[in-house]
Amino acid sequence: MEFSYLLIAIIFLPGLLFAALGLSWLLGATPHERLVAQLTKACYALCTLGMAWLGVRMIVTGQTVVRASLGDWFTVEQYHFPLAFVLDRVAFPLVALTVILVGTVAAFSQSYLHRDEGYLRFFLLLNLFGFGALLLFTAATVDLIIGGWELVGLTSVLLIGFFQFREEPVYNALRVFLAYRVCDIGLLTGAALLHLYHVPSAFAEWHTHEFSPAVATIIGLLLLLAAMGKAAQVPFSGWLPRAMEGPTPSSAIFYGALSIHAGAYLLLRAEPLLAASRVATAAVIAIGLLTALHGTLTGRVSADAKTALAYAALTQVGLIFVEIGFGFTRLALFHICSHAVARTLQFLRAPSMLHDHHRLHAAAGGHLGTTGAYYEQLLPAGFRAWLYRLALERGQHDTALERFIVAPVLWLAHRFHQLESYLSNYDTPRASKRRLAKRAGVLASNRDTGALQMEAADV
Amino acid sequence: MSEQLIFPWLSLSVIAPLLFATWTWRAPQAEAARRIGLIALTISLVALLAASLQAALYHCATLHEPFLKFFVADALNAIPLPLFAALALGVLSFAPRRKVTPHWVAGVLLLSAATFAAYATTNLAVFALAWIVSLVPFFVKRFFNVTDEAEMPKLARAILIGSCLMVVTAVALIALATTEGARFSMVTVRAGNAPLLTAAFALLMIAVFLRKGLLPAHSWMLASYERGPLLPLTLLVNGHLGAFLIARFALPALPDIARGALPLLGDLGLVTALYAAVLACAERQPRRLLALLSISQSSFILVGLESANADGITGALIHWQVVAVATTMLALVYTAIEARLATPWDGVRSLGLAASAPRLAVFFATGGLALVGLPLTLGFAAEDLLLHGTLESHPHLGFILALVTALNAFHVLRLFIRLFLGQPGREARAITDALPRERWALTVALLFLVLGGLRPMTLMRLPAEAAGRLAAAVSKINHDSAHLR
Repeated sequence: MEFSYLLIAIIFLPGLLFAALGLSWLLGATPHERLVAQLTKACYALCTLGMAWLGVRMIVTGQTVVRASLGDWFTVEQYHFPLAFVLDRVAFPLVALTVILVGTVAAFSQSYLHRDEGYLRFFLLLNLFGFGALLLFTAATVDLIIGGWELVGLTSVLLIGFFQFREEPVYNALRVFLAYRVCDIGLLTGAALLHLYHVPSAFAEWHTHEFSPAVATIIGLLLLLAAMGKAAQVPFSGWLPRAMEGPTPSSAIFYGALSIHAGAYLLLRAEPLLAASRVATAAVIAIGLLTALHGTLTGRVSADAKTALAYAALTQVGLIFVEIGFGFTRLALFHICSHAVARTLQFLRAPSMLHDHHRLHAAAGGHLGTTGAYYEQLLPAGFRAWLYRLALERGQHDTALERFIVAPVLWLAHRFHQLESYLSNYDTPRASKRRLAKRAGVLASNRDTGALQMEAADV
Repeated sequence: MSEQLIFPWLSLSVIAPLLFATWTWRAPQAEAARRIGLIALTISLVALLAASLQAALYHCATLHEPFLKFFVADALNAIPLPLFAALALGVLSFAPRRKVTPHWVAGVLLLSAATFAAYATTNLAVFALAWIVSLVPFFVKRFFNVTDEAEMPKLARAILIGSCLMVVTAVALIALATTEGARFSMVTVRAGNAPLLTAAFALLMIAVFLRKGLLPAHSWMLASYERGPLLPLTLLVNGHLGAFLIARFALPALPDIARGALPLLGDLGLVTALYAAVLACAERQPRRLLALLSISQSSFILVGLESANADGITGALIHWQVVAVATTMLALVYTAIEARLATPWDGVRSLGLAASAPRLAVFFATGGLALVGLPLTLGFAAEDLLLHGTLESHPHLGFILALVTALNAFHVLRLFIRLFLGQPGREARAITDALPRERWALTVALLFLVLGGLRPMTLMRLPAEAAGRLAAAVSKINHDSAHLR
């Protein structure tokens, strides 16, 4: 019982800090930079201590799973939404990673974002993200995981658009949000279909549940769609370089450590369901392989450090998908943890990369050898050139998505818009018609340039 | 179970705004009129809260008024009644000074009184009267002080007048079909002449179709939002009298006919939601974008009602609350921005208002994201229930629902970015953040959405009770027809 209370305290502490800071700001107070950072660091230090205590007590008492419940969030006749949390051997490493890495990133950001006008906003979003990630990793049911999943996605988007006065980060955030939301349809409908097919929503019960192959395939593919979106798997990889527009600490915690692995975590949780469907398993392996290949090729031609690191992370996440597909869940879990720690360090050092390189160069006496140019030589020159072009164009995934999904939707939207313009001008009062006539020149020129359609930058 | 309210709270809530409306009409100054209006709506809110509390204490029983027996407080209207009063109060206190005139206040009070009466009554004739009266302020120019340019378009007027005619004709047909004294109450309607009742039901459904702005009748909302008075229109739309007509009269009084006809209305609701979400991709005009978001999200209410199971109907009733509060928040923030800008905004260039009005930005973002089911808000619970209920009855429709929500979330963020992010111009830098009176109204709305999201059962108990009864009424008919077969 004491473990349950401690687990709930660890999950909700960052959420409470977010609520306290946010509400005080809404009511007119602006907390001092140092206070915000100290409170955040103290929060995650407490969470880390709590996790350490939990870990030690679990080892001493031989308890492998800690469960906590806050009852039903809401109930309508037969339908219940339980607020149930679990800390088992899959969740424990990720929860521990979350509290340690978010705390580390908070400490790093204290000086990195010093006197930035978005300082408080960054820490608010970091705490909300911490809460969302803890909710995601400790959720005992698919229904509850959606809450954490969407909070992680939303904070990710808001931090990509952190530098709000520049157009590029803001529109990149919008594109990432669209990719997230479209892929989240998989999680939402997958969770709802579980109830329809009378599959328990608690992950623990999946190990003993007999899945029919058809149900496992449908729900498995829907969950895979959600995981692909969050983990930037092919063909949704295009958002990842755009996400690098955010400040470096947020890139580290989101795309080096936690958010990028949320998809793999979902698949780890859904492993019993995936195992019941060959189609879903094959799809996980194929997607993972394609992504790993795409990540390694594109990362090699990326011109900036953060994008190269992001594609390197993508390669590893692709390999983690493959491991999950083959059923090597322990290896995948170990891979996630080690990769998250290493990549966070690399991201946090990225702004000092040139400085580090020069120091290394000097330490080596000015004789640093080139690396990474060995295996390419095994391929024919023509094929190498083709791969190079493909990598430069980032696999043309964005182009394909825009041409085959976005463009038809926009075409349809434009036709609807024309119809609506006709309907709303049909009976416009005379005065309005005169006003509209004055603006006709502007509108006409806008139409010519396709401004009535959503701008390409909007999507 | 039939009990009595200890005081005529519902009559008081209707009469107070009506009386004060005549007073404000002659008030010398706008601010004096606003104060009178605020007193009237506060009286209504307190009275409605008392009635709702009594209904909740009596375990959601149907509580009749001591004198006007056709006014009741029950599980179905216990939340919408005080919620609408609070919305009207918020709109009146928030409205920018330059918009408010004594007649404007009188218009809001008349609309509020009519909506309270429509929610409170179990008599279809009274409901029809309230339906018509709620539209009066939009047809009489003096109420909302509209210029020729902002006058409601002819098409919109034709659609709304059409809805009134449909309701009145339906009432006349029901009068012909039934012979008992209380012929417009829900119980007696069932025993009437079947063909006439079917025709009356069809007319009521057409009225709902017109007033809710289902495709292709949605044009009235688009045109009115674009040129009309935004805040009163938001109140009118968020009354959701069309959905209430189905829940109060169509489902319980004529469940056998409703069971056959509602799928058509539900499918139409879903098509409308999808159409509006796709159309919004090509829309830049902010007022029209707000209208499309409102049309698309409020169409889900019909989809939930049509699911005819407790999950779906409860989801619809909770979604109603979310749509009402969230779209009002969006309209309030947008109106505040419109009032602060010296030149009208074209919706193309980014305003970058977050620097000068960060709190307005937070309110807009929270309201918008709650509308599309942000976790930790009431919208999440509503979306979850709607999705489950709809998938249970129509598995293929659930996917479309999720798709539409995803598209609408994108539109909310797109509008947010255009309004608040980007490089601020000189005009945007000079804009003031939310004023105290604005901040309080928006904070209450935000707390409703967030606290409702943290403890949804507080707001869900009464709607779930009402939904259970409605679902039971429909499933009984299904059971009986299966038995007959």
